[in-house]
Amino acid sequence: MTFFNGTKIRILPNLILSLSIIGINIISPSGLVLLDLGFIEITKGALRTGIDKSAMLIGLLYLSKNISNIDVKLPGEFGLTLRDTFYYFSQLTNGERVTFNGIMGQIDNKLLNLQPYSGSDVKNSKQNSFNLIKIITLAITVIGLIFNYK
Amino acid sequence: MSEPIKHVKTRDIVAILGAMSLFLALIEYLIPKPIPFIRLGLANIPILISLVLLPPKETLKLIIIKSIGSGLVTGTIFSWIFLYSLAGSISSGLIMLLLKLVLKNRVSLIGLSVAGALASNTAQIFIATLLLGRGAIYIGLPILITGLITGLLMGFWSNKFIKESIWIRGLLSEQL
Repeated sequence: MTFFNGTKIRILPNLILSLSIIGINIISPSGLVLLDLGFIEITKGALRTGIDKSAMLIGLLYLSKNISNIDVKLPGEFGLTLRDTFYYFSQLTNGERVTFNGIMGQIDNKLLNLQPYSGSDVKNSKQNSFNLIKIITLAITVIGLIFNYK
Repeated sequence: MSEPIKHVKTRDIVAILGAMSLFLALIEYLIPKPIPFIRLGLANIPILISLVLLPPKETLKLIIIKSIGSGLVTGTIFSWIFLYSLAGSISSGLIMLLLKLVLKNRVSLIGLSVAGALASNTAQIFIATLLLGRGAIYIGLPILITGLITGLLMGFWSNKFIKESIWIRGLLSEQL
């Protein structure tokens, strides 16, 4: 899904994440000893669990990255606040680039120039419901995957 | 083009702080981390600011927005990382709110930030133990020490932002 979207897949962060999850799992030995380093034993079961868990995690990360591209408008007061949050967020991410040096001053400047939401406070619509159904369906699929995972 | 916001409603303040939180979460996501589970917690700065600007109910709303939003922005909402983030954000937010309500002005933002960071890290270690097994306990101490340092830093930056921000000065003068 990520590949067809044209999103760049970053190898190094995923590799670091995988290795750290595998590393954490190796601490708890289980099954056949593959390598004895003296201070730690690398076991087949622990290695397998670590690889499985890291693959699952990275898969889920990319899945949620793609789901976040869907435009969702939730009903109610909280939904409106969430909509406004993403509206202001898009203003903060657009415009002048922020550098780490003096970041707070630059953010303050951006806050001072925010434009209020001018659209209507639509609390529900067919489109909203459709987007919500899409999200719920995907969430159920993901939760199903997690609970069937052994 | 419409005018910048002049008379800000509470909902706008929550939404703007929420947006700031997501923006800082995005910046932090882009900073390479040598150890994946250790993070600065830049997105907590708006939560600390909200303790000064907003009533507790609105701060709670902001904590939920921050958790959901940063999960969406950083692409972790349907992953285990979201569980860590949610547990950390809620426990840290509740501890900070409770301390603020009980101690009022006798506790500084730095104190609140450190307490929040430690609560967040403790909750995350607990979740890590449940998900990754007992091995996760070994990373507990370094995470708590890092949390102490980042808590101090975030508290200091939040204090500095509140003192120097023209946007906050405008809000406070409007509230008077």
